[in-house]
Amino acid sequence: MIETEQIEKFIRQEGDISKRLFIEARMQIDRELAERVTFQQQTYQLIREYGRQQLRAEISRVQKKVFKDSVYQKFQTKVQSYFKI
Amino acid sequence: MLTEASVASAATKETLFTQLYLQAFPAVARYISRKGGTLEEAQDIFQEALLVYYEKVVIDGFELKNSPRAYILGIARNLWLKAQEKSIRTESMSDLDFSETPESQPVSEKLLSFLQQAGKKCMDVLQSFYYEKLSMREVSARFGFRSERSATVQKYKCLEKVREQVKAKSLTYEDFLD
Repeated sequence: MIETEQIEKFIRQEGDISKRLFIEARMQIDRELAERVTFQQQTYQLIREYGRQQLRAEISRVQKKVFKDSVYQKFQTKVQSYFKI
Repeated sequence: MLTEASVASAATKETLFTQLYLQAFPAVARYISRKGGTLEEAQDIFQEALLVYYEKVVIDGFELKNSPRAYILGIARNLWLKAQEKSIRTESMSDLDFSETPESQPVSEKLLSFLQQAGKKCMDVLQSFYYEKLSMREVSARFGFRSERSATVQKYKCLEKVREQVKAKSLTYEDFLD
């Protein structure tokens, strides 16, 4: 866990610079560590996409609601009037 | 406007998105209809605009100078213009388009099933910290951890678990795109 935390600080450029430089130096001689750094970077990208996907799903649910629910009929009529030929 | 702590509540998000649909969607729809777009296109553009709004204003705390409606309309206009430019370019370059930005593409089913294997709770913990940028205190409260410390330990365990899966499959982000 400590190493994962240090890799995180290295990637995010946070915390003690000497510890970050230490990781950077170790990466030159430890190929597996260098690999873990790369995979951890990819993991952050995936987490971000996962977060976005969750948010898109929530937005879609709301969209469905405002376009289907009769409570929002005034809104629906207004919007549809813009697309009538 | 939403406070940082309220990012945690799904019900609050639903209320926010509903208000934004009612306030801002008609203006976006009118703009897109005038430009010759369809209702479906207006809905797609609006969804992406809401995503940008949420990331900038709620997550990053960007202070709006204008109303949310004006801000969303501005984003939607930009997204519409970009989409138009892209379709013109795609037509003129046959089916080769090097301008694709992976960030803005929807991810595939493959990614979803991969992430399900990592465990939904793990992914939810990770996204609440790294994407929604909640503090460890808020993460603890949302997921019922005993302390910030145990939430931090869990966060790193989850990170290692997902990282190991990424390694095992030697997957890159591009592999998840359709």
